Amino acid sequence: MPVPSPPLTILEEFLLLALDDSVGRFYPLARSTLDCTLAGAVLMDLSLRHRIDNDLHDLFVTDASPTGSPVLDPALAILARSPVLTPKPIAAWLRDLSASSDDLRERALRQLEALGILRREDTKILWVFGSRRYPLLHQKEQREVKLRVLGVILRDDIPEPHDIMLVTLAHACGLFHHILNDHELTAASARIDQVARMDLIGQAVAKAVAEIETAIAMASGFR
Amino acid sequence: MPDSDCLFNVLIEMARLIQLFKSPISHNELKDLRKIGVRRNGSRPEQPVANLLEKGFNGAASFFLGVETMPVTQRAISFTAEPDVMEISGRLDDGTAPAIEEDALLCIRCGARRMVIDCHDLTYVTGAGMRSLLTVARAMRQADGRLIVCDLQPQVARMFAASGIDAMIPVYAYQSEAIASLAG
Repeated sequence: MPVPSPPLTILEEFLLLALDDSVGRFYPLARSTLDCTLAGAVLMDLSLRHRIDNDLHDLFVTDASPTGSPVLDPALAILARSPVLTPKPIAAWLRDLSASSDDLRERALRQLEALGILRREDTKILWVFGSRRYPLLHQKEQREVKLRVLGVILRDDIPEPHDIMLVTLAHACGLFHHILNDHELTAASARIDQVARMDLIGQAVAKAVAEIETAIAMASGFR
Repeated sequence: MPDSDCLFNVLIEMARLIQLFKSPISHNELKDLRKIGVRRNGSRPEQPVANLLEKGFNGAASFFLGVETMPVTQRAISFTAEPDVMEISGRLDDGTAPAIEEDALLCIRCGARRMVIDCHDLTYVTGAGMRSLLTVARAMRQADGRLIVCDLQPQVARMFAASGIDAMIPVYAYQSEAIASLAG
């Protein structure tokens, strides 16, 4: 009897959502925005695994024991570094984890490869420029994530916390502009705004992304 | 490696648990659930949970739900009449929310369809607590029931407002108002 795979983390599901399966590449998202979003995804995963908790202002480690996930445990180790159990604003934790977002992304992609969901394909363009694609080996997981997210934003049900978090992240980094057409986006806009408020870590991600975008816009304007 | 006696006991408890859910639980038995909840520290509960003990609930619950080393927040479920009122006090956070969520979900599984969660003595709620409330509200809606919260203290009210969850779970100022709205 085959051993069932563990459920995907928010981070892994977010990466699947952000993957354009027609070309095997991620939708174009600003690097700094993606860093912050991936850091937020890891915080959400850790909160669902009862390792951290938060109130309106602060986020705190409640249990520093490893989760067993090769993706989450390195991040938990960063959070649990001294001073352990000291509450810090959510934005500060996001900054701490954003610095290692490349590592988080790489680990999550390796996990998706190990689960047989996608594969890595390195090619050369004009024999010089490296290009990497992530074709899906199975559509099932990505389709399931997309259906769940669409179900949340197109219906009025009370969503599951896990799905709220995914919607919050997708909204914060502007992913819905890529995965929905204009008509769908307009129709679901109010519901997306409603759901995106429901997770406080997600709110902090959205705020941090907005600040980054403002800073970039201001810097561009001053040139 | 657990010994065979232990495994045998587990199987017995599982069989009893299945038997428990095959037979409906009365409201009086549900009322006693709170005592099981607050004693989720590995100790055996005392009377008046004899009925549930007979059905093997506590043994199975303590095995499957794990052992709490910290006392959970004080809470009480009173089943005086419809609707059901669940009073939560203290903190609703990562340490306490899973047990309270479980109690509430068990009530819904056992037939509660109109429930008031009275937060008069709930002084602090975290993200984990809000997720638990949302999970209970979701289960209640899926069961075609209604869940209302009432008497939010300042920090709890701020959490509700900040997360917009008050748009999904009706909030009333007083328990009497909440009960009246469910009666209508």
